[in-house]
Amino acid sequence: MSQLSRYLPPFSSDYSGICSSLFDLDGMVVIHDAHCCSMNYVNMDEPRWYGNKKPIFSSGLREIDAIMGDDDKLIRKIIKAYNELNPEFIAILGSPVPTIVGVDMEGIAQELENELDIPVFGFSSTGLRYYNRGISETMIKLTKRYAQEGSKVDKSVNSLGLNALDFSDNSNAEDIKEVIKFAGWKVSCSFMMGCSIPEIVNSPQAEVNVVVSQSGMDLAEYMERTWGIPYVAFTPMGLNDNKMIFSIIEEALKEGKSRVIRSEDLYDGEILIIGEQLIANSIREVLASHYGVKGVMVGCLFGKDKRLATAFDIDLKSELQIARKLKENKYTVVIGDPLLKALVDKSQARLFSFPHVAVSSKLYWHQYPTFVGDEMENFISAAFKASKK
Amino acid sequence: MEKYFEESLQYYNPKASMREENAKTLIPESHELHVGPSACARRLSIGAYQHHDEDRITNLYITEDDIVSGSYEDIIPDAVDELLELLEKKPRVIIIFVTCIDDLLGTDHEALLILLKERFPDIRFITCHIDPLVMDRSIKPGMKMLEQLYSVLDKSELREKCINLIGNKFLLSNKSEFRNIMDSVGWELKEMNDCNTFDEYNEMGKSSLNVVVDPVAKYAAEQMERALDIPLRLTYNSYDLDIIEKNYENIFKAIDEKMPKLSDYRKSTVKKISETVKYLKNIPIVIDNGAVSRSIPLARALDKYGFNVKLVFDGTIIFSDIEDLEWLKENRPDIKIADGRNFNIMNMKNNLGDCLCIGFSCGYTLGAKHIVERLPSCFAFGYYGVELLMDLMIHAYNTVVDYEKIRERSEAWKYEPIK
Repeated sequence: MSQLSRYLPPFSSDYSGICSSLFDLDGMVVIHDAHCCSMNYVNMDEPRWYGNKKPIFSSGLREIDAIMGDDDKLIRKIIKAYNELNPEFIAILGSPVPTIVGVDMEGIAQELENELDIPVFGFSSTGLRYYNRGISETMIKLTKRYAQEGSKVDKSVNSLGLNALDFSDNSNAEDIKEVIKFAGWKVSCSFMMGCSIPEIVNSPQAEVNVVVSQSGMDLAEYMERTWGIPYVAFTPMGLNDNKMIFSIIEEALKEGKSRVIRSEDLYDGEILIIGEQLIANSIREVLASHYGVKGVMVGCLFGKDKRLATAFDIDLKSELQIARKLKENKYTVVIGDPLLKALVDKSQARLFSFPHVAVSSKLYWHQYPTFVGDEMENFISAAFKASKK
Repeated sequence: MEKYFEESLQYYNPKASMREENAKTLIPESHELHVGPSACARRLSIGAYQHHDEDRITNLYITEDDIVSGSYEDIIPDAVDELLELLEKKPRVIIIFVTCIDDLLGTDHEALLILLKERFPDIRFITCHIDPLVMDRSIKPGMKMLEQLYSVLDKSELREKCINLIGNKFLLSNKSEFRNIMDSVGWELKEMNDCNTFDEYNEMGKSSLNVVVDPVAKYAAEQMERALDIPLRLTYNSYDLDIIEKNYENIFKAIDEKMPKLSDYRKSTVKKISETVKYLKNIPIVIDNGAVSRSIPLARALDKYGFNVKLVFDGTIIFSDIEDLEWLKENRPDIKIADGRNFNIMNMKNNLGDCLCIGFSCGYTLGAKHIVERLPSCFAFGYYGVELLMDLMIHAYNTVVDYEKIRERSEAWKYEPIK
């Protein structure tokens, strides 16, 4: 049995990822659910909800509508709200019940689009997948719909995969943009925090894509295939050697070849980082390049992307797998969400708490780390020192 | 009952009231196994952490394969086995919570429970539904859930001089006159949330009367009458002094005891009400059902006392409130009753100016300066409840709400800082 979770809460799901991605745009989002899924997003997965009023709604699905397949009721409700709110686009999202009864979200979206004459996106989200899938799907759908090829803008990048479930709503998103600007590059489109539809339209004009979370990888590959834009995958972290990183970006541009920033000779050693794969990779990179620690394993909590993984990184698909990994008593330091404590305490390792919205939600999002700068550098340095004890 | 409001997309304000977060309906020595898609139990699990109750909950995630196979319940018995290995203390009851999708999959719960009882004979099992999908049924999800939670009680031939309070999410306040009055005639009040052990909880099956203090518990009490032979009285908590008096009469008639004189309590409450009406100087009052469970009867009661009630937000009108709703529509058409979940509330303008809101959500919607954000985490039955509300209204009137502080407190509430 690998589906039991005794110590960890359920993680954010795909529909929350989609809502979170669309938060900054002037669209109207409808989750086709009874109530609970919307409440999950609003209260547990969106640190920006309090104090902001955004048109993200529940369809108020009822049993009889689900059984009878009454899509017209949903369509009527959406049209009524559209007429009053005049959104730039509409997105309708699936949830577990529409999944079970086989609601055709794309079909409903098409029907609405024919009637309303604005873009309507249908998402077959299920509530059975993680948030990063939802973010990835959203970015690709929007890009396919809006992006237009144009002449390249010198020294410009898109950042792919910024989202409030990985980066929360502190200064992380802005800090990352600042790092890019400080290195003399212009941010064309910051998918999906602080971006706009016109920026998405112009996003193919960027010379390079900087992927900052796992959810940006599919879009990066799509843009590489479609417009020949190479990508570099790393999350600015701590007191990064920006000079080195931006020389890698220059190289990627020059050679037209994508790359994942990763040191050589890494191995499964004394530190285990459990969390979002690219962020975890980037912490490992600081440990390797600044502190010379190469024995660092990444435990991917939300699915392992082979494009980002070393041969030994592990896909932690269940709590049982995490428990087993820790039981090996191989690690002196574990970096991960504070809610992992109950599991880490059963091993000899020491937990360095690194909150993640998609895991511990509002319990820790007010104590979210700032990725760029001293705070993270000190955190990584402390983890390094503890690993040597 | 949703016919009272136009069907619409629904908008949700942030839930920042700790009152709701602090509400509990728990069987002592029980463990909750939440079975469903991983997304479904997120809110409940994080909520459990906020209560430091995370040890009570385990999640069992079902996959698309389990759904396609059409028999996801087959994985439950093995999961229970595994769960028992992980728990330090064997629970007396395991509550299996299922979600909306269960209504559509046609799970045979009876067969599942028989199977579980055979395999784990010393544990009681019940299934509970968390399924807002059936919110439009006459037996609403919350009503069904309470019935399921009380269904584990054993029937007893013994009848003790005890009264069960059914339907209160919070413990009855020690300041409520209800407890003193019942003490004075030698009757004990019992509440699910006051029980520390399952055996203590099971003693509720020996009580002589179920006093239903919230309409959500009517169905549970009716089933208990059938299964356990415990009679019931529908004495819903009210802010109307006449109804409070009737409730007490009703209870005393049921237990066949002479009712003590309550006129002093009433006199004191009347005085408090009239002082509060005067103090608030006709400020417009807005009510939602976040701070009190029944906003419509409260609106009617406050209007009766002379408060300037202007607007009520409600989502689903329940059976017990229809009479008050009709009365207000007929007699006080100037009091607007709005669907607190309609998408329009997102952009609702405050046309009332300076107003006093009872409930965080309506205050947040209107950007009001004065909010009775919540009642303390207690159940304030009877005259004490009215007096407490008056105190809180005066406090709210004298205070300008700090929304940022509410946010910080609700998010960081009780949780430990990272060390």
